[in-house]
Amino acid sequence: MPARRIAGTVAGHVLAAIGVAIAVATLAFIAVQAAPGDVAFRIAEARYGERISLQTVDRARQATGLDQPIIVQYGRWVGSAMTGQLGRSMVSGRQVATEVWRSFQTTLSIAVVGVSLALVASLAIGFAAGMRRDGLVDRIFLVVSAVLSSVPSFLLGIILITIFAIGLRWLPAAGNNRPGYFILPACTLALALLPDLSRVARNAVVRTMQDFYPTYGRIKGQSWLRIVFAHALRPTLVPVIAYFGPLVAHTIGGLVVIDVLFNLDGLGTRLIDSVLAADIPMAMGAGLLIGISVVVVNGIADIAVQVLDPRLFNAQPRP
Amino acid sequence: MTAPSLDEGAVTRRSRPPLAIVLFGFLPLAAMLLLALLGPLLLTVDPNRQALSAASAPPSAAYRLGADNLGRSIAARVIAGARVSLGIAVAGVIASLVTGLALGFLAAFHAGWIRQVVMRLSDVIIACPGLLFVILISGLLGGGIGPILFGLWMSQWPGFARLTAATTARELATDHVEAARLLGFGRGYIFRAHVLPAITPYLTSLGALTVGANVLTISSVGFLGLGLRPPDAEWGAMIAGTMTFFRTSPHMVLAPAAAILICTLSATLIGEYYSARR
Repeated sequence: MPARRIAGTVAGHVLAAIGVAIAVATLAFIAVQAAPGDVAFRIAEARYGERISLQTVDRARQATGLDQPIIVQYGRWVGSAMTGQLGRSMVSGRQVATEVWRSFQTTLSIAVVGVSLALVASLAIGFAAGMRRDGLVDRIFLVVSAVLSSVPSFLLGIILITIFAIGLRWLPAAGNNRPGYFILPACTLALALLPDLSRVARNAVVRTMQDFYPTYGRIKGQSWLRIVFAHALRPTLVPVIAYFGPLVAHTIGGLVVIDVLFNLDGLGTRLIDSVLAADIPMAMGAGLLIGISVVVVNGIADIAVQVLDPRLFNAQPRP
Repeated sequence: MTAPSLDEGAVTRRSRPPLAIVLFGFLPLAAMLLLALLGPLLLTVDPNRQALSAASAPPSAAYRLGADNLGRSIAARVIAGARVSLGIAVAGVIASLVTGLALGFLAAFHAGWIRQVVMRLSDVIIACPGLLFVILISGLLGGGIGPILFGLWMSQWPGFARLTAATTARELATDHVEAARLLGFGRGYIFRAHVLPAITPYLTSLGALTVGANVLTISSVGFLGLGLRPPDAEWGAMIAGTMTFFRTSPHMVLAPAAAILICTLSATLIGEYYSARR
């Protein structure tokens, strides 16, 4: 029975993914078109530099199909995207799919390492603080997390770079061609996500500890470690995983800043650069991939929550 | 369960905030706001004036917070940046608050299609990453104060609208509002006398939290180089411009960083104080 439910959930998420992907790519298209100034002019500027003649602009306009009506341009893109063709960059002429895919790998490695670090650290901190509500650890945690959440992520990154790349020379400071390049960006991301995520974890632990079974475990003579790992971890994970929806939005914003700070060609830089250069196919390609990632993460979180707490299946029928 | 007594509510309403909140919340934020408002009067030096002989000077009597790598007074630039950051942050919250209050109230009073439109629209906007939204808008519209403000307003009014709609709907369902309605009082009166006082703590909390978040967002946009045009001072841009000197002259980075931290932390503390109190 749960397998069928999960299959249904997956199908729902796949449909949602297609919808969101199209919506995001459309927004990227509208964003580029709605910006003040001639798109062809910006393309020509990005291609050939600041000093360009009107003939150059017209040539760029024809070469990129920008002389067609907007509806035709949009329809063409959707049509080819359906068959897996994302087209070529209007600026560099390279395949959008290859370029975006390369950026995606950079972003994915940073995001996976960063979010995993944040998750593990949040659970550890959450248990340390939440097991004794209003205890010393809890109070220190609340103060530190309030301060940490008030520090902009780029400043965290600058501090990490100064210590580990410039001071100790352990890790590369920028670029993504040296081994271990993703460690500092991932740590920056983890630190940026930590205050919110650990607070969710701490509140979840507080709620779990109010249930009777931790007390029951103590009465039976179980150690705190056993209670945490055998009983309390699973119900605590449910709100933490459910928080991945807002978390992923936060992550995307943070990754843009991290891309710029560490000079990486991740999806964030890719999206911003292409929108600024009016490179429509590239912007739509990057938007498409970001939209799909958001939906995939939400879908995985949704299924994980249902697996972790099967009661949620029966409690609320899915709309 | 014992019946909640009326006195208890009255006492919490009138109780003054604890010392910690005053010391680390209201005072610092008030000081920064004052600094921003009085900015031009306090400035004795032009924040953009370069004195290359004083480049990277550490804090001294002439330069209270030192000078940056181009010999500009960091104190003057931090004050000038306060006008930008706090100005946009507060203006963004006021704009979002007014829009959200109006639309949320409409949605609560008209349960039909207006409510559907407002709610679905806010669902979509809330799902978007706010920072990315502001970055893209200010990038597309060419930087400056206007686009950032527009981006903040676009991404934040739904939060206020949803909060207003939810709390207003709850208040409208109470007996005393029902009584007022039966007595023939109009919507305007009910809104002023019953709904607004009831939902104010919620909105204060969200408003303060949003001011803090906005200061962070504005500094991130400035850091990316999409905010004000140089040489105008903005905290995030100041950090971006001097971060390569962090090891040799940390004061250039730490002064604007401290300003960001003070504003965000104090606003967050105020917001959480009100959200815990309601």
